[in-house]
Amino acid sequence: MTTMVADRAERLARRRSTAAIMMGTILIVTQSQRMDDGGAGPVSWGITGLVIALFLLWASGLFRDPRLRGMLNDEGSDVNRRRSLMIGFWNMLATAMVCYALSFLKDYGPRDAIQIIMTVGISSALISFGVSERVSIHS
Amino acid sequence: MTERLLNGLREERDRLGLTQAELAQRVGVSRKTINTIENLVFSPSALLAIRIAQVIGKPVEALFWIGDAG
Repeated sequence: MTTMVADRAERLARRRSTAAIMMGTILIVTQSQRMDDGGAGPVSWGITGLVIALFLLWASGLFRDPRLRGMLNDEGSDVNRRRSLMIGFWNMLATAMVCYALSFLKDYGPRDAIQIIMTVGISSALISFGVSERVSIHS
Repeated sequence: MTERLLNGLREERDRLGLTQAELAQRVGVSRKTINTIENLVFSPSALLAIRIAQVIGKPVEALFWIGDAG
């Protein structure tokens, strides 16, 4: 029984890491394409937010067996999660500084700047979490 | 000089004839967590270190020690 739970946790962790990398990549690609069309609208951001929220719910194993959830979110995953949140935070700060500097050269509104900052922050956090998990699994 | 937490987990696990998955199962963590501890990718908390030492059957200081990172 425990072996089954451990195997399921391992499979789920693999899928979760792949999904995180894919989601981060899709987010950055779709958002960068929308920059040419005057930025993403509120509906687009709403859908993006909903998809990310659903992913986080699925990835946390909230509705799964408590033992499976415990293995899925053990200390190793927690360290990777905190590290990727930190990477996302620093990338957001760096992007905000770049946006500030670019505002002297190019005329763009706060909505564009927020879109760029959020896209870089969220996608870098998702991708770095996925990569850290894959490295942990395969190292 | 930078210090880090080193461990003899792989040797002790091999001595007991356990795979990473079997040890992870007994400790109640995922295999990748045991893997990353053995490869010194991350240092476990005191709680996890004690749990691993209990499963291995050795005092925690015999399994984990502070060493030079270089």
